[in-house]
Amino acid sequence: MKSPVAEPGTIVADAAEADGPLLSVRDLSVTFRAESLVRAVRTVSYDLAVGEQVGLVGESGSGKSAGALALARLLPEYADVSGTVTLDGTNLMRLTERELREVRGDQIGIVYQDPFSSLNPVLTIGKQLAEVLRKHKRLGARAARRQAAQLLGSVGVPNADDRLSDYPHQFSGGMRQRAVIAMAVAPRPALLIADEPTTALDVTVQAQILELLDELTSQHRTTMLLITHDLGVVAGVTQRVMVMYAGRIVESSTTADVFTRASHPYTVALHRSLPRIDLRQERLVTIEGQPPDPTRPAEGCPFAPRCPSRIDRCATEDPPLMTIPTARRATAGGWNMTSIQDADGVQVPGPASPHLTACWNPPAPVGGLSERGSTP
Amino acid sequence: MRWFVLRRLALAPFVLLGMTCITFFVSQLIPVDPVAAYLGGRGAAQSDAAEQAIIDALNARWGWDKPIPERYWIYVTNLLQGDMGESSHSARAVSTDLANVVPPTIELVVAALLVAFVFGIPLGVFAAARRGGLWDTAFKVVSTLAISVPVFWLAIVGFTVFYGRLGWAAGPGQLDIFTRPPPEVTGMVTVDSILARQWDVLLDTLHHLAFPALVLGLVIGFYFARVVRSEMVDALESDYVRTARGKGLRRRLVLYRHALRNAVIPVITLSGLAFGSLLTGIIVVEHVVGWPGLGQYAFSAATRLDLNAIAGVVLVISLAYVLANLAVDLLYTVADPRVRDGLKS
Repeated sequence: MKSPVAEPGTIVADAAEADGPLLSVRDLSVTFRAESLVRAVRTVSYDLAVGEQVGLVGESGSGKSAGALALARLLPEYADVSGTVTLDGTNLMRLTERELREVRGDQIGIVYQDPFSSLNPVLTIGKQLAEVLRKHKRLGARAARRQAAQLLGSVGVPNADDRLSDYPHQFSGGMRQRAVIAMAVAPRPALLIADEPTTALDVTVQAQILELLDELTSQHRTTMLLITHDLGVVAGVTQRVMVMYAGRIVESSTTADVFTRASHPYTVALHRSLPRIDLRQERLVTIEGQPPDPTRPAEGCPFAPRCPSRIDRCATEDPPLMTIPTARRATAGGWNMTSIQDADGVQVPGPASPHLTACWNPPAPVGGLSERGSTP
Repeated sequence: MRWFVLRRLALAPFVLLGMTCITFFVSQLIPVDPVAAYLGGRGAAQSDAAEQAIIDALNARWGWDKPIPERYWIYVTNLLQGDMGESSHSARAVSTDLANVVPPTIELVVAALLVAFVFGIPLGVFAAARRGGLWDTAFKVVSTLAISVPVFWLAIVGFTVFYGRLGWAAGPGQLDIFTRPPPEVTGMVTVDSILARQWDVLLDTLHHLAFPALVLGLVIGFYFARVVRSEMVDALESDYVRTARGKGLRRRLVLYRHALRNAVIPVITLSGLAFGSLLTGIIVVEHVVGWPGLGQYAFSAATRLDLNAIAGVVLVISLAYVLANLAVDLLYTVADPRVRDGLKS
């Protein structure tokens, strides 16, 4: 359990000394009770260490946003969440709503996808910023406002003092996202969840926002979970990447590995579909077929119907995350995976985990982009 | 902002002039002879010389012997001098009558709107916060009943039960018959009794005010509550409410500061519209509880075909509408900063 006196910022130091992961997610599942059950996230497990910047990549509907918002239990009431989420020794799934309010905003900061809808249109930026400080740092109205101005300035909003009394509609998209970031980092959270923070923004602004997130999180050794559908976004910022497909993590490794030695057929296909500056292309390469219907989970590997390296086993057995041996032995029949699984067993992605892939027949390593040639 | 208000106020006289034009000519189109109505049906039917003399005298007195356009001209020029003509059924100047009946109605309208806001908005928030639950379902049933029951029925049955049987409600009028009214300043008994520091009189008139204000206020309040509920349900599912929850704010702050501030904006529009149904309700309710206001006056003027009085009532109601709509537009600028900015440019 965490210490009763929760000074902002001390959690990071404590956790670093404790030498365990800051965040530990085990068997997290999210099911939406819609007309039929939508299984958005299926038994996902991973660890995040203090100060890590980790990317969670996947296409729309892969469950990455649902899985991230479930960490702070911010999903609507019709979402059923199971599994454990342990932040700094506390299982968040067991907290009452009242206890959770002390964690939200304070230990977990969240940057949302759309800064046009995530800010309240009828409250000033200053008020929305100050209320976080008043809640979690117990500041009075005037002190909160003063600090809000500082914060707004520190995220790169010019004339921050004057702009506190502006309403969201008087801010541009990029400035709004800066304000949202200021709110998220205000109490120095241990974990920052950035849920597609650049998707709704102009391309020119995207790079600035990513740079700001990178700067703020490395400065305070904040752990960042950066969710995106854009491989280019994770390339510049994160050290580690987890790729999600149909509610599961299908590949996990260092960012460099995922870019240079992608080992899951889905990741390989994602790389192929990136436009390349060095190749003349008539059309963008797409992944054939459709993602599986989350209301009717099929047997076997969910990517199998679209997979070029599918084998018989894929249709019946859903592959768990497994290590890829450093010494690859390619045979005519593909990898000898039976021995690999027996040797290494099922693994959880974490700061020290090796390159993991959920595939019975991983293709030969393919890098879509060179390690250094990528820009966010 | 200031220009917006001034522009709206400058337009008001034209709206009112248009209203006088419509009421005047429509009342000319009514195929009933007001002189005959005044004389109780004997008038035009008989061509007795003595009767004819009375008819001519009345026509001359009210100016009915002149052609219609000239009569309108006289009417408007008199109106500009504050002269609304003479009421045939009270035999007083219409302006004097209105000065007597408008203040009690203002009291009733303000009290009813107060009840509607104070009761309706929290009720809507309450139901939305428990959406889908037992309380929400109970709210849906009760509010549907409340807004589908006709006001006259509610007023009559309510008055019979709460005054006639239980004796909780006060009797007819604004004050008990043994209570001496406070010295008249505004004509509103509540305000006048406060000005005169006659607290027992204030209590007495509030007791009389309570029943009609509750009947009118609850019906409108349930209307408000339903709109607030549905707007709140949308707001509670919005991204900005998720952001507020993600900050760890207390439930009350999320509900009232973040969700309600947005959900209440359409209620402002609705209260402008509710003003219309409030005025209709007032005619009925004032009649039932004997409230000496505009509603009763309008009722007796209409049943006696008192054209000058009707025109006066319509003019007052039009003025009230213009002011209510102006108030709605101003409230919008207070509630929604985006509207405020739209006005600047």
